[in-house]
Amino acid sequence: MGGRERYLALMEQLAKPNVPIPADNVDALFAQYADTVYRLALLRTKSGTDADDIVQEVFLRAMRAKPVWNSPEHQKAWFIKVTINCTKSLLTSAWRRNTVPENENLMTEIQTTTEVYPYVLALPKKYRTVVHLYYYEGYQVSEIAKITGTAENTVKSHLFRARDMLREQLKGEFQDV
Amino acid sequence: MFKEQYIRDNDKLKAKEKLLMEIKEKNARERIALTPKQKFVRYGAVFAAFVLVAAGVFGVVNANKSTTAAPQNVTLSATADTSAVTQAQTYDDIYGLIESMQNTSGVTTGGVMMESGAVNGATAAAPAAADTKTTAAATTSTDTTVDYSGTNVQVKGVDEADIVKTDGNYIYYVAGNQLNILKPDGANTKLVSSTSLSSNDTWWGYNSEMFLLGNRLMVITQSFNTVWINDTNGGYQNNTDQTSAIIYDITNPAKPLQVVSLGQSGTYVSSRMVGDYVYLVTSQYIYSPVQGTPVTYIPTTTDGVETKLLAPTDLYIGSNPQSAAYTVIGSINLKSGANFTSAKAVFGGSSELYATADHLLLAFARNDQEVLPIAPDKDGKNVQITRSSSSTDLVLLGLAEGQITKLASGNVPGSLLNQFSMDEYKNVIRIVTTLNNWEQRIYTDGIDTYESDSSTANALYTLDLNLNIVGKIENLAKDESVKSVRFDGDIGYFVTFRQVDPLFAVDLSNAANPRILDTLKIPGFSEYLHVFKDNLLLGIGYNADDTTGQMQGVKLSMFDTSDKANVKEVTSTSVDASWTLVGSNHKAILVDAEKNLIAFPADSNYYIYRYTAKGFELAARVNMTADLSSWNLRGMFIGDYFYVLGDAGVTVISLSDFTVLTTVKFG
Repeated sequence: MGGRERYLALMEQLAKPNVPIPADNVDALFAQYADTVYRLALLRTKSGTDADDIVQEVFLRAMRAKPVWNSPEHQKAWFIKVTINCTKSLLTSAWRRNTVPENENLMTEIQTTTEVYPYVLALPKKYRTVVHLYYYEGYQVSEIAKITGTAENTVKSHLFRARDMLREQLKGEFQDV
Repeated sequence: MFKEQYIRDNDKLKAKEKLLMEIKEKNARERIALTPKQKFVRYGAVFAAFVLVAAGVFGVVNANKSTTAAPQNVTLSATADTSAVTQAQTYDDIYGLIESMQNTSGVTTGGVMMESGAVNGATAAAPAAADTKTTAAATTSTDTTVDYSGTNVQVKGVDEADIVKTDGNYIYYVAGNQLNILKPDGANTKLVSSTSLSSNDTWWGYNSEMFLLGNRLMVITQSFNTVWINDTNGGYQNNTDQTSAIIYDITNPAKPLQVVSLGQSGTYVSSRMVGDYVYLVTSQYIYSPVQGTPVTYIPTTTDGVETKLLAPTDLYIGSNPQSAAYTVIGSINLKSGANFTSAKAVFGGSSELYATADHLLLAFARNDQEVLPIAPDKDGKNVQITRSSSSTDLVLLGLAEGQITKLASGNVPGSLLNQFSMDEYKNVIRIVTTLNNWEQRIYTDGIDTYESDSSTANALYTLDLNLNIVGKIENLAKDESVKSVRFDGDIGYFVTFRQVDPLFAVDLSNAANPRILDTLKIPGFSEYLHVFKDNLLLGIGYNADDTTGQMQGVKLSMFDTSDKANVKEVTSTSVDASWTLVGSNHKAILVDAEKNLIAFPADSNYYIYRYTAKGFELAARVNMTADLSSWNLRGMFIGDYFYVLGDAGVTVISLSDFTVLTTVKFG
């Protein structure tokens, strides 16, 4: 049983409906939310190294703050919200970028192994976030507005604009965006 | 199908498993750096050479910094400017500050706390001299003639909340979500009532604490406050950690009546009661602020009906806060109040606190990190050096009949052990700290290799009421950390530990020139020091092996301090137990020289010792293993009887022959 499986087993024990994972169970939190955080961070920062940093920072914040989550939905929204906040601040603090060489291979690899992802990655950042939360995380426009702290109409217009841009680029079966 | 393909694409991207280990390591390091009391690290002789080198490098770098003041790192230079003081005029200022902090997290330098508005000079009245010579019985007035013990407090006249309180007539004990009231009467002791606290107020299941004043009892517990926020989408719920202060009228102990349940945002830190006023201190971390919605990032109080934001003028902001958290201080008149009298907050982290009758001293732990750019070392190998060091920001607040005003702010190097690390006597504040310096070197040629080392030393500072350092002793007990501190007027005692226990006696009669009077080395260490009576200092801690430093069980020591320049351990005894709560919670011990009682919980037993010409004598050992929280027992005397309280019930002991008279179970 590998580390991953062990944590997932732990998760299963804890996966009671409507009970958020306690803030001190970092193993279970990581198993449940690390990929969510990583995927959003990678999309926003376009850097594997930065995304790794964001994952660390988000979980450290959870361990420091021990927030009160009243439901799994609230918990997931918290992780997404904090990820967005962290990526905002990371983009302006560039010391690590200057000192740590970026692993270019990851982004190149993603370009070759994915089909529509590179097109989403090419969108402006605010559009990327909305597209990701809508299509991948399955949130409604109203929920995205709440999580990102923007007005519902703004979210709507970002989403429409992003769809237009994607439709121009995408061919064939993916034009149903 | 775009959506399905986008999901498939994303599913290929996974967070690295090794990040979890790194998160855990970072978290552990933060905890060691910020709260040294929880951990102590023993450094082997192997590290001695490293430490010296590191210290040398540090000195040079600091010197350079102060003269050239041109760090190559942009982020550093921006935050090193401590003269740029943020002054809050509106909630948006604070929002901006929280946002800006996310850009500089972890890379900050020492700063001064500033008030929003004009900074007040320290014009406070001279505080009453803190007399810690004896543990007097509680100052609470009572209509009975029996004497009884109060909570073991740090400063006479400043009460501290605890899980048990008595006024001599009744015993109040809170455990879980239940308030139990007992009529103490020796063998006829009876349970009068058991009241469940409302589930809203015990949401966290935390241990609650209480204050008692006349016919009113305050139960402090952990809960949360839900506020509905209206927005363009129809609104949503915002939950904030909250500390509840539930006030009961206990005129009829058989039926306590809830007067009001007050709430203050943040998790419970500590509290004090001076006169009629309770000062409640909480720590509120801001984890997801929403611009334009102050309730998500501004502290609040509630009277159970209405939630009120603290006014911008009640928020004090440091120029360089360490973390996006407030220490919130609320005052409540327990005698007659039904709401907060005043509430203030200091932005910049959570803190230890020390209180006299007029002053509340907040100590904020800092851990400042400096990351140097990659550069070749003397052997030409490329290395990135990260250094971190600990210091403590201080804020002095004035307390007067529930009014809280900011008096001064300052900073001392090192971090504090606990509230006993601070003291005020004759307008001089004295602080003992432990300095932890840590350095990491990442060699970046080829595969990154990591090296790190750390050093520890201790110091004592004296400060005036403007929080300027006036005297100091530094570099004490290298590579040892402070295990206990006690101030007694002009003398201060503290214990550091590595393998044997050096007890330092410090002469503080001249604040500008504190000096070491004596260093006593004995096996083991004391975790709590208590002035037993004139010229006798009691220590409770652990035995340790002389050579390995391995802890070997609970130990009581009595020190003769009649000659301050030659402190002696008169006698000591080994308690048949491996652990006691006293070191981390002084309220668990009862020390009364007049009644000749030294009583405390250890392992699952409650011990009562007497101190005679022959040394420590075990008077009673009560087995409390039936108790779920037998590590957290309390003892008290009322008249001729001694009561040992646990969450299962109370055991009554006769003080004349120390026999168990009866046991009363809680419902």
